[in-house]
Amino acid sequence: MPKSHYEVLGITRNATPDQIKKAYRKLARKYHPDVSKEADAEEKMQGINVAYDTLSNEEKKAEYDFQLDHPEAFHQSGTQTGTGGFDNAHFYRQGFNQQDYSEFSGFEDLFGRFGSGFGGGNYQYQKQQRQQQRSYQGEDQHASIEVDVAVAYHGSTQQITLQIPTLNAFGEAEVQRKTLQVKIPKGMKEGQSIRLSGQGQTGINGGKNGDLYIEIHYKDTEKIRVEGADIYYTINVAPWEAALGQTIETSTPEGTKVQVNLPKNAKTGQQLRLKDKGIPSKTPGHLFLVLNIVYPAAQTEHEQQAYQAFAEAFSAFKPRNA
Amino acid sequence: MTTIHYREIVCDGFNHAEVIDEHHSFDLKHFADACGQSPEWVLQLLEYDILDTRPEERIHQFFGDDVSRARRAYRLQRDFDASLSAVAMMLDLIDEVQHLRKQVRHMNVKDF
Repeated sequence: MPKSHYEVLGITRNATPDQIKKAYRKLARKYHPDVSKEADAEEKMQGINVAYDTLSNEEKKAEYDFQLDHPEAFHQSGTQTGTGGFDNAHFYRQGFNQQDYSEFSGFEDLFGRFGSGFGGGNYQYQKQQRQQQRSYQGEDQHASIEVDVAVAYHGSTQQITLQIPTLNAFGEAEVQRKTLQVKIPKGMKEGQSIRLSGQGQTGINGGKNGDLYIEIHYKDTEKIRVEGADIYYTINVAPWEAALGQTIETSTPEGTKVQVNLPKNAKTGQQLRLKDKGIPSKTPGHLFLVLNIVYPAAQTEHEQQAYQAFAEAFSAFKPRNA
Repeated sequence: MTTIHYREIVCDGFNHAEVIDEHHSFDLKHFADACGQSPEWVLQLLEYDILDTRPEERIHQFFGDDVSRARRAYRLQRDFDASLSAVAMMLDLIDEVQHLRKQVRHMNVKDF
């Protein structure tokens, strides 16, 4: 059962406006997706924004309270009544279905503070509402997506489903649930956007549709970190490969194999740059191989002897004094 | 009582995606539209150094990379009721924290 707006903000129904605001600020600091480390911060923040938007507005709060007191009057299919009457768990669920790779990290603010949708804080929309009779271009919408780094090299097709708040031809609030096939081109840098023309909010009174901007982010893993067009890729090397500066073969995030000459006495954390082998953007990034020396466990007698011989050969080496 | 309707739209075929990169430039009005804000608000971002001012450019010209930063500024301002000078500092700190978090995560390498 979805939480009520009061539960989302952790307050009681008799909370004062100050208490509502205080609860909101506290949660915003914890879950704001630009700041938070929480995995589900974006989803939580959207719910928090809706709850605050409803409860901080006297009229909306009264309407919401009425719905809470008369739940039987608001069970309709296809139509929801009242901004507070949404089932947040559905309304705010990240509406993205992936065909390959990744999960969509969701819309940054399609529903943020409910603002851009239904008469909240957005400039363009407020203007549109004040001047309903004229035709207006629909608002541009913004989303972000997190994909595997392989997409940077090969591109990808993603099926996305998004929910766009808008006004219909009769000036009524409407949520459009739109499913799109989107080709993400290769060579996108971390944080770069693509624009889908006309896929934003529907224009009003014959106005042009807005555009949809999708920001592309790459999943960081323990092995891979992307910064701009550069990729940092951790590879394991054996101690003798590092010490002797051997030639090693390694896979790359692109899925290919490369041969690399290690410098003699290479150390953990040392980076080897493969020029222009990062994200193939207009100005290609570099691929940095980050060395991580791993030591095999000595399990057999033979292996233990090898470590013993190693210790004797390096008897002058005092690691705690190095 | 507000009534909100739901409508399902399925778009067949592939949608053409245009890459908005550092080579893609906007004038003030189009940049403001892309940010969903007013041109006056965008000019304030320049004033508070939230967006780089490019003194070599006599006209206001904005690039694709700026959209994301401006949107983040908008979210922070909206959600924390923050002044733009506070937003400017928050953005710098967030950038630094994110960079450090990435590095830390990457340093915690396990055997693979």
